[in-house]
Amino acid sequence: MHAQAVDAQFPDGPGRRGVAERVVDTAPWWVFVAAMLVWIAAGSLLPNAVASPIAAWDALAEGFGEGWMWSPFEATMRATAIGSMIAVATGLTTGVLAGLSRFWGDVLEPMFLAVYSMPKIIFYPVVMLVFGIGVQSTTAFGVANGVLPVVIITFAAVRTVPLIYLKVGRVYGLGRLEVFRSIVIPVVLPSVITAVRYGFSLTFLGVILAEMFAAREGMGRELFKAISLHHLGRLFAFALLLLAIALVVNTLLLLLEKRIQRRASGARRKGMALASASA
Amino acid sequence: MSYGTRVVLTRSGLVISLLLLLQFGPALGLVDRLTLLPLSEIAAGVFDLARGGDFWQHLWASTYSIVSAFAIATVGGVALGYLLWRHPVAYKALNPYLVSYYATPVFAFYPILIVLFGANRIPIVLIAVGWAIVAVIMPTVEGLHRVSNAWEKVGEVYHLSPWQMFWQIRLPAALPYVGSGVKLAVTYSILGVVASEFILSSEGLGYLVSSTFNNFRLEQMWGSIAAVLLVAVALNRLANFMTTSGRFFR
Repeated sequence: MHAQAVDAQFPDGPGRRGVAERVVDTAPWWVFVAAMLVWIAAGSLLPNAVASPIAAWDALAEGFGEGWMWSPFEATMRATAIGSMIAVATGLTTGVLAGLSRFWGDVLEPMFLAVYSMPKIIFYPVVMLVFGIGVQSTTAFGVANGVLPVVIITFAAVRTVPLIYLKVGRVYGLGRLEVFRSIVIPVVLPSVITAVRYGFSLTFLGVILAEMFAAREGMGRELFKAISLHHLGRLFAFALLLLAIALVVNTLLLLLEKRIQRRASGARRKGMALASASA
Repeated sequence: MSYGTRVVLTRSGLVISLLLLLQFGPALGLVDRLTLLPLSEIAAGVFDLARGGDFWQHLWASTYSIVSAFAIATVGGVALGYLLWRHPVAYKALNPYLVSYYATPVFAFYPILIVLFGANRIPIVLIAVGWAIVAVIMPTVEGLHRVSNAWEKVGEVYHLSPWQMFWQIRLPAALPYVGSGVKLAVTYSILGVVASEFILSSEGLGYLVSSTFNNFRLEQMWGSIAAVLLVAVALNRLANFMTTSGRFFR
């Protein structure tokens, strides 16, 4: 990944971080500051299109203070949480099963990719016909949106377990379950975290989209109401809240992913050493 | 029979069973008739739509929005990718946002775009561009980074200008990566346009699906869903065809 190449220019090793590297490390925050400045400028230049940060903050504080924001927030996050769990569980299972079988993997892979390239939102009316208007529909659509990336990522990860690892398993006479537990899972774990990240994010996005179209409650619905009523303060409050949730969860899961990756590459080196010792 | 043949036959078998289920499910009572119409009626719905007046206008609006969004996202994405590759500090600064980009609800900024550009196609195209452009930027940066030093030295030997270096050496070398980004860009352009139309517009295939649903015209709704799927499949196939084996450049 290019990020790693860039990191190589600015190495993380102890004792090699100079002032320049530390300054560059804070670079994403400069972008944040720049974005805030642009926002403030836009707020004063285009008052009928953009709410100023102060107005948005006021709306946010008022919302949580007076309580009209809690109910939609809770509704959306509940749907997202349940939806993500279903999407991740289903997706991981399907991805692993399809990945382990070479035949079924080859059969299903183009179908997964074909379905992924279709805009699933157009099926939301069908979901509503089945589940009615309400949290079941939004959750169901969230699951529909989030499950497929999980399947595709897990599937790809399981398929690329190096054969030599499996040969080591055979050398040690490990049973299928043992092979799965001690070889496949450690190799696949980083990608599983990636899949969980995508699963959560896309389920979240799906729930919001569904709520914007038709729902009884939720942040998407409030966002849509604010858009229709041109309630700029609330619009920006909701938009930024959603953005913040998406970014925060994503970044946390990314950090987890990187930590597991570092441990996994350590394990991989041990595995390779083991493999070359027994070869 | 060979392995390859078995795979293709199994896949076709699955697709055919799915189509059969779509056709006979409602009749056999497996699925509610209110939810799913038999395939034959969906096909009739498509023809029905096609004969009616506005369908073609909506189809045209959606298609040219998708194609414009895709064109802007691809060209812009490659250009921005090149700039970010050239300036690693900028890349490092933007990286956390680019990586989390797919999770952000971009369409929340639709109202700003309407005030700026009017209630026409432009906000929809811009939202789709916003969604698709990052899918092109990331693989472009990666691909440019992987251009072999040997090729860059060949360019130096021939005293190529930066533009020539880019166009004749760097971009063709990075093409496999850029190609995968382009394929994603097609998907996201379609997604962005259709989702925006579905929720926030009064024109286009997405709008058609939502309005036929709201008016309980279920045959036409299924017809428009089928139309969207056909357009999506066609455009994806086209993109796949154009990006495989570097056809575009030779």
